[in-house]
Amino acid sequence: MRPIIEIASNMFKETIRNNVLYLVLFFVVALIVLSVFIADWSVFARIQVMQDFGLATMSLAGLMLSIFIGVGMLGKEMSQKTLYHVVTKPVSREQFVCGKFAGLFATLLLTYLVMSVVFLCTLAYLGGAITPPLVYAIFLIWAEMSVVISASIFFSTFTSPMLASFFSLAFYVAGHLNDLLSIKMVEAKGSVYPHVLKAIYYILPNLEHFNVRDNIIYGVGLPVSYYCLAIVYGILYTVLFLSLSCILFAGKDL
Amino acid sequence: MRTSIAAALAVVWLLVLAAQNRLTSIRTKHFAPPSMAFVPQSEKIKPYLLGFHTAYADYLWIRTTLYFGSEFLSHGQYKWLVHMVDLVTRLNPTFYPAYEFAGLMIPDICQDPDAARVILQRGISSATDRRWKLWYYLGMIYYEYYKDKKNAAACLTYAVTQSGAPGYRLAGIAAAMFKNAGAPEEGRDFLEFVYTTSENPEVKRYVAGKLQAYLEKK
Repeated sequence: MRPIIEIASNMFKETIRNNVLYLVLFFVVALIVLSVFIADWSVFARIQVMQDFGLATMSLAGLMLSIFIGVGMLGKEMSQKTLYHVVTKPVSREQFVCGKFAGLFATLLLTYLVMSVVFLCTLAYLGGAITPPLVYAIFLIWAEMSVVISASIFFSTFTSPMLASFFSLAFYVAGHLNDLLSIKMVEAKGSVYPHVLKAIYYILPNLEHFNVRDNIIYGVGLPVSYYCLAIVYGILYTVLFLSLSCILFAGKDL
Repeated sequence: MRTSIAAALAVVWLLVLAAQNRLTSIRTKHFAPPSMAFVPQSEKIKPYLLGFHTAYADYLWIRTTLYFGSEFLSHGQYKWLVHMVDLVTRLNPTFYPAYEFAGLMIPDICQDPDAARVILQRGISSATDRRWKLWYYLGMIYYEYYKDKKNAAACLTYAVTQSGAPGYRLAGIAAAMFKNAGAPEEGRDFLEFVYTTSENPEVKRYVAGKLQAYLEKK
């Protein structure tokens, strides 16, 4: 356990100095504040637009951070040969991958904390209520971020950083379009096509389960059990992707 | 060791599937319509789109169809449908599918033939390539909702003069309207004609249902 903590701590210090992190944070904060003006153009009330826009921006920020930081994490270590200093020590490759993920996740959690505070303060300043479902929605975004980052790390274990970025982006888009597959499954005809769609539906995670923006805007409440189950769902997928990353990285010829 | 890892991953995978199904069933029970937060109030947003207003109209059209679908499956209130279709046609006046949708669906499901008429007239003046259809839909709105057979027939005669129009069919229908027809065969002809000429599968599906109900009532 100690090697994981040490690697995570080192990764945290390394990532917190990454300029990309601050650039993304700056843009997200700017967008959240600018959404106040964009909200005036919409048919909806300002608060509703702000809630929708703010949560959507934070979700996209997770994607950007996983692509810019998460994807290059392992590739950079291998190309700069710094990885060899670690694997020659009594540190298993699985501990290395888990430590890297933990460090990156801790950094991004801190970043998201800043974004969430800005978002909630802006909302409160405009007179919006900070309701429990809104806070739960932020937790779900954190869970989604965890899944996306673990998927990015998984892709980076067997492919180049450029391809891993593309796969991560495709993974995010496909995960959010997964709901449409369930509709298409019902309509599909033939003996093979519906089963192919079903397989794709169950292989890909349904990232829409972390998206409760519409429920918040329209005030359609979800039970607390839904939020708990969605976080468990995110944790399970993260464990799955990390496990696969560890297996692939352990067998990789460095 | 490998077997136990594989077994553990399989167990995690099964738990994931169970969680996914449970989450889907909870969300289905607490269904919320898609957000309208990104729908602008008016086409005054156009200058700020920096020339991408047609692309934005395309995006808005996708949101419109998703909104229609979600309302069709749930509340059936269509509060924002007219506004969204109107906005799509204002941002991109040559976007034909929105006009067809306005002509066929809005008078019936939104109970707003006036809005459909205004949108169709905008389409007619915007030089779309299937203008004869828009005249035809406008004529049907006058006939069905305003009970104005004279204007309906006039619209159909304009439709006959447009390029691409199946002149003989429209002329026959226009003549029947001019005769102050109340015959049910006209309604059947109209539905069959729309079904065979529409390229939109959703419109075809909707009209097929209408035709079946119409024949059962007869």
